[in-house]
Amino acid sequence: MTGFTPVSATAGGLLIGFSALLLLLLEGRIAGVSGILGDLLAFRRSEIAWRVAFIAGLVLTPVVYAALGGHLPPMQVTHSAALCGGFLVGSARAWAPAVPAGTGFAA
Amino acid sequence: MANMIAAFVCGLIFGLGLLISQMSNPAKVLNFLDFAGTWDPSLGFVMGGAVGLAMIGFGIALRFKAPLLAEAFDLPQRIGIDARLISGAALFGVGWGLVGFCPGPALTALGFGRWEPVPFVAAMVVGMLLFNRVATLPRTALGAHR
Repeated sequence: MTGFTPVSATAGGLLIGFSALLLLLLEGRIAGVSGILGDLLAFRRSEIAWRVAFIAGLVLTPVVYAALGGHLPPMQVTHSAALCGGFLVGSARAWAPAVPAGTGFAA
Repeated sequence: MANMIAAFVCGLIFGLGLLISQMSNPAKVLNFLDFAGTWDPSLGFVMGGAVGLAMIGFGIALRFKAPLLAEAFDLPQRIGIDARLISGAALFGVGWGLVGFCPGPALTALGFGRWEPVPFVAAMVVGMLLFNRVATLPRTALGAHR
């Protein structure tokens, strides 16, 4: 059970859209995490640095957020099918590079 | 260097959006997909905010000749929908619906310092690595962009 949170959802969505826009304006890239991670794993040398930096930002967000005094939201991973699901999501992206994101963006 | 700082900051803002909207919580995503049960429409608002802002912004941004820190915009070339895209999207959807994670939120969830997202991310990386290898040939044969 999770509560309906339209305000924080919209605010978070705007931040995600802003990040995508910023990445396009600065780097000329599309902020699809599947693509950024998937192509990083293809190990093309000239392409590695900015991809690692973006993913580092993504992973370190909770650390920075907590360090600045923010309270991390709940994270409930209830399903035991994580391995299977992770494999499907990963292979989907490699099979069809243009696969759209789950939340429209966040994949 | 400027490239890396810019990408890092974009990653931080993206992650902050995922945290604030609680998309880093798989339960939130699964409840969005559970129309008949404990439906939580929040994800629709995340999508609305992200896609809405990006649609307007991209329209303006792409009028520039080039991005600030790179020589040219690097956008996906293929815009058509084919069997491969649909089957890939279906695979993705099953994995997403099973767990409630997709790649972005799963990576941000890693930063919580808990073990739960680790199996998902590990399996995802294996899936990407495997199919990067396996899918190279047919993808080229099909005339895909990479």
